[in-house]
Amino acid sequence: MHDIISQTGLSKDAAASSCAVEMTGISKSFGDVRALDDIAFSLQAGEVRALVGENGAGKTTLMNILYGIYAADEGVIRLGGREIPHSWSPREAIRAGIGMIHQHFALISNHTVLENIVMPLLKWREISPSWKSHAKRVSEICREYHFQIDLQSRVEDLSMGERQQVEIVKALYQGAKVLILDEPTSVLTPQQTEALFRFLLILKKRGHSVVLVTHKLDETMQISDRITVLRGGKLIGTIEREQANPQIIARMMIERDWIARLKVAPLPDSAAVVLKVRNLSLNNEQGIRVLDDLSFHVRAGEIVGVAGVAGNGQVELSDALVGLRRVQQGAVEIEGINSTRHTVLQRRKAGLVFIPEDRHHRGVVLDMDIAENIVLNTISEKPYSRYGVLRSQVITDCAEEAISAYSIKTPGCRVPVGNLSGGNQQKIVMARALLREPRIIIACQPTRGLDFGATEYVRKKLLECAQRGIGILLISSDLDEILELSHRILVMFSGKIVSDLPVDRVNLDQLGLLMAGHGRNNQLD
Amino acid sequence: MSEGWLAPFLLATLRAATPLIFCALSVVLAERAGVIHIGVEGVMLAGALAGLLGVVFWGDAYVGILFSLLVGLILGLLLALITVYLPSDQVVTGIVFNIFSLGVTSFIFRLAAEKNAAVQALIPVMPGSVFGLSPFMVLALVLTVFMWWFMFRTGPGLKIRSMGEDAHAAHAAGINVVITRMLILTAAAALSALGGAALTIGWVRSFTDNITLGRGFIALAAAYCGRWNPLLATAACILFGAGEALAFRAQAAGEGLNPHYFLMIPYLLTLLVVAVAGKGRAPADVGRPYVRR
Amino acid sequence: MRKRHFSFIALLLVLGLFTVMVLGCPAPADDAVAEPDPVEPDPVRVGAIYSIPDPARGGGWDRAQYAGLKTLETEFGWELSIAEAVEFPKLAETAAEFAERGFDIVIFTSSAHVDAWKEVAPQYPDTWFLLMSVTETLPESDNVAAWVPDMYVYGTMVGALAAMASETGTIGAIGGMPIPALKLMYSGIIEGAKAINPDSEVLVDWVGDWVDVPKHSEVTRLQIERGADVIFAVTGPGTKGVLDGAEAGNALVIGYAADWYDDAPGAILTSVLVDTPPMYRELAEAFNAGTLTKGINQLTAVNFTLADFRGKLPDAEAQIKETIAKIQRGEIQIPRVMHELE
Repeated sequence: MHDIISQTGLSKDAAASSCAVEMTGISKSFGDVRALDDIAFSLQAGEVRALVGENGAGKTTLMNILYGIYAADEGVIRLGGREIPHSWSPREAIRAGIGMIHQHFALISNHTVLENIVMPLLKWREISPSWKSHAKRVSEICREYHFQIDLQSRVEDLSMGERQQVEIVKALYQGAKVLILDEPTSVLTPQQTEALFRFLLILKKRGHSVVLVTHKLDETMQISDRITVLRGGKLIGTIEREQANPQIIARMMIERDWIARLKVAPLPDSAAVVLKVRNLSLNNEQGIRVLDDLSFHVRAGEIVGVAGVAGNGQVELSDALVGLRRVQQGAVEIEGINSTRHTVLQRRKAGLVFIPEDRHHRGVVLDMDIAENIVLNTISEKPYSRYGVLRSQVITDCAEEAISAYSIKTPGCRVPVGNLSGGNQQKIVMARALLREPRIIIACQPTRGLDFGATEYVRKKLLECAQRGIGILLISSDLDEILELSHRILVMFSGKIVSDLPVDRVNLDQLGLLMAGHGRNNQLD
Repeated sequence: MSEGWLAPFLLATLRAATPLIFCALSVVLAERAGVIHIGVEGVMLAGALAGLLGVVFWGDAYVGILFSLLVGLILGLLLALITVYLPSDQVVTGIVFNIFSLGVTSFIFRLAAEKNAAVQALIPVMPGSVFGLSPFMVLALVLTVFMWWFMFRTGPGLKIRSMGEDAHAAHAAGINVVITRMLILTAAAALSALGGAALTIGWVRSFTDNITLGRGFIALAAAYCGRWNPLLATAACILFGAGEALAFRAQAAGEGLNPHYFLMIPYLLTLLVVAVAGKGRAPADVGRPYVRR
Repeated sequence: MRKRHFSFIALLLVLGLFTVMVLGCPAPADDAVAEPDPVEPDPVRVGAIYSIPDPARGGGWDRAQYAGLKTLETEFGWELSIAEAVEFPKLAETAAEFAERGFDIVIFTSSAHVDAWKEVAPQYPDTWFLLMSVTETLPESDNVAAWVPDMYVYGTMVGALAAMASETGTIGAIGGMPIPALKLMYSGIIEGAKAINPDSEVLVDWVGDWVDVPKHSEVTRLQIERGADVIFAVTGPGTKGVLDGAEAGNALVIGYAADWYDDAPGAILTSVLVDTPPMYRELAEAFNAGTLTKGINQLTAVNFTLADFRGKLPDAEAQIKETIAKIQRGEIQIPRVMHELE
């Protein structure tokens, strides 16, 4: 990776040329929330710019305004010195040479790669598009940048990395001179990330500008020429990479110093096994084997990290453990009791709780208030209800307690959870999971989408739980998180566990290879 | 059944299928663009009345059709304003609109009857009809093929389908989702109205309160069975038409059995097709209002 | 945004409800007298109940009753209030309200009203409750009377007429649903046709509902396909489909109870009328004279008359009329035979 860094560095000629993009005085509010406040942002041709900040800092919003998805409340945008018209939309942005690749890809998964790439260029009057010549030109672009995508395959059949390539080719095919990438590495393996960065450098050499929206400091340092930091909707500053280091940027992002890594306490050998999984196999609705003969165990007070690129069976594994899906083979034992046939409720009563991956759909009920969400699992039990009637005061007290214990930022406990930030929502999920002291926590992507402060809070809480003797299965695609918190790391690939090692025996490169499906089997104990 | 039953059976099938085809195509069009078209029943009913009134008051079948189309366009624009521009819930709006349409058409029909008693009588057979088949039949089949070609072979078709699959992605690709969906829904409503005109002008030559009697909903089911593919949706309409034609023929043939069993045939057939068709994949973004922040 | 679309839905709901109320609620017909005439002291007030909308143009029976009811207004100066489209669960309530408001006579117009009739009549002994449809029993009170058509006799007259008008010898009989009154009538048609032409065949088909116009049209076309050239139908708004189907297949239609000529001049041969004005006159005179009594009044052959042929079948018209007159006079005897018409 070091050779990549040595290739960066902004050419002075490019800097002297006119600004490709100049945004001044940009403000935007969503309801009462001021998402952007008087932001200035300019971008030169041939520059790779990192736009960093915590979640909710306004990075994506700023770029969405540039791309015409949102309209700014105030401010001026100039492209190549010319002010943009009032009716700015993605259509005009595309025409002006701006391409944006969202974190959630804007691809039609049911359509083919070629259709996705060509569609934005088609005019309404273009009754009979010349697909052959489009295909030819798209293939040329793919060759030029060493992308290998089958133009006729459906997007839904592609991996996340391939989908990102489709998005990039789409933007280039539309003639993008400025390419905005929103958290591009969040779905990639380390190897894929490296390939992406190599491609971005080629792009830069050809005079394109790149904006990398990210919250990962390593990436920022690795590839960008300059770094712009936003915090809470305000511009903090822009610095040259040469003058920056992770500590400086982190301080700009979070208003406090780089926090030392958390450390998990060593585990006593005598700890009892609380969760045991034997030869677990599961087929999905299409009959495809998504979990293939998994065996592992979690001991009391142990954090077992499950690493892997999203979509390799992690969701199915957590569903199977919690009791949301019926397995075809194998057994799940909770504290020595075979619970394979038990329902979600029975397992919860046995002490197994769940922090689901999809917070909005499974974690909280957005329209219900905080108190209701916190007691949701125990609502039919004493003391929260008596003879089937809810006891409002008890529930409110319980919620107030949780709000102060977890420092949930809210005007009151009867506020709909949908009004809270992601971090506070996750705190509610945690509060509910820990309401009755559990024996096992299945935590899926517990910090995904959370900002720095909330992430740290959640991780500390998990460590606390482990110290109290709760066994934790931590499923996460954030390798740092896994390395930081786990005693032991399992790597999942294609529904199998391809590695099971104590944390002190793994290294990052190895993990990346395992996650990408290389070197399976030879690492298994 | 006597000899020579096949031709009349096919004719009866096509007669019953024609109005359904227009409506099913309108549902396919609207839902491919991402808007649920529950209002098809109400627009069909309004189109049925408008067509008849056009014929009675202006004395020409084609003026009737034009008037019906016009009413369809206006109602489509109204629906589009409510469900796409505002936007309100598409299903609730559609249901309320159907009730509204039932009330208004009955009311207008009675007003019209007081002005001119001829709206109560049969209107003339549509010119160009042969063997009891109106030109609507040909138009329906031509439109089916055209719609299929348009949806799956043209640039605009691809853009419309993209909008139905993922409105936000379509917007990111430079499509003005709100305006386009409004136009599509308006055009779709005109098609639904044409289905109503095919019923009154092209088939039974008269109007009564609620004459469509759920045929719009059957078209909705046909679009579902046909997996939002115009060719398959039309095939489903023809199948339902055949079921209806068969029901009466079976009743005539099967003396002594309770007629209610035979009258169930078309509905059982529909249920069967829905069951056999399995879970068709709807356009992914259908029914979700698009809001630009 | 949220608030705005909620208010819009609310507006739509209100609009929808309003139209439903305007059309669906028991409302006096447009030409009904709303206020009592101040010059005439205390006109007799009559409330009539229909379960269908727009009875003036409804099915044959309702139309015929409507024509009769109108004579109360035009010839006797009575005040007539018509509640239409009254749903079955609301029948008793509507009748009771008429009585509460001091109406002198409440008229039910359908055999489906019998239960409500029996429920309400004993509660309001000062009001007369009359039923104009098929019933075999009376409510348990003295303030009731019924005018009941002999459906079988009516059927024989239709059957005889159809058999004389048919060239193929095949007669189509279409009904909405197989209710007992229609089974009785259609048995009469079969026997009536047989009395004229022993080789005649009567095709009886049930559409399955009273309202689906296209279905009625298709059933009619199918009967014509099977050889019928004269069609008779008793159903609801679906009758328009019968007329359309008959016209498309060049068959003739015999109208039920009221004169249907204006609905389809090309298809209507004639109509076998239920001659209601004389019946209502009789009713009004009895009421005025105070001689109205509890009982069932049978409407029979003499109450069923032919409408104008208006140039249809000029050669056969005279002979048909003569035959019908013979049935009315009892010179042609037709046996009562019930047919299994499922």
